Amino acid sequence: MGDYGFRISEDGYDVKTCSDLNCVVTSKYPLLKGGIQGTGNISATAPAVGEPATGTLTIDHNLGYIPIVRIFTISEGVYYEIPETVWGGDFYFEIYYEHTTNNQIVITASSTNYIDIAFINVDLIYYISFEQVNI
Amino acid sequence: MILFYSKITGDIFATIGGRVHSDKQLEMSIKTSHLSDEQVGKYIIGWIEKDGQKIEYNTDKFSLLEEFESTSLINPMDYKINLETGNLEKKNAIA
Repeated sequence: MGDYGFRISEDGYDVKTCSDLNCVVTSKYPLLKGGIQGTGNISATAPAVGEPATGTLTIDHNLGYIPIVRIFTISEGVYYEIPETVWGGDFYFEIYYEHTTNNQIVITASSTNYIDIAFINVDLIYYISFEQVNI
Repeated sequence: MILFYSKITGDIFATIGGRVHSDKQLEMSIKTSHLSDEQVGKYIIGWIEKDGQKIEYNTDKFSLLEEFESTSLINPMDYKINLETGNLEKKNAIA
């Protein structure tokens, strides 16, 4: 097979000689074929003051490989990408994180409050990018 | 859109976006730490693709789906499934 493909360079760069970094598009590398997005909510209440309120949302994607995932918490219309921590003085904090396997994405939200019962009620939006078509 | 809800309370806790869903998407599931697999229900608005055919689900709720997809602040979590009727309703509309 010959060396073939296509590339589009950024403005001001010669598409025949510029580096890949100066390309808007190049077929040299695999492209993501599609994706899916959705929303979720995690809510939980701590059993006692000083103990964490922890909840999880598990997405069984069953793709058989680890996809590229971006997850955001939503607060008053603003998106915050996780992992994320929120501190409220010396007595309160929240943490959001995720781990992804070949078949699952597990999103965890946890809040601890040292002067009151902690609770979590957070809305999320997630984006999963696929490497394969026919999803 | 596939809405995932608690079969105990009817509360919606997650969604998968889209209008036409393939088998692969239908095989995906979402659960929370306080519900078992059996306690999670699915409510579909749109179509599923099966054997080359599109099967319709709850398309009377299509305008609501468009609201969910828009950038407005109408959130599927503000709705729930009425466990008696199986209908999708705004939370405060259910007694």
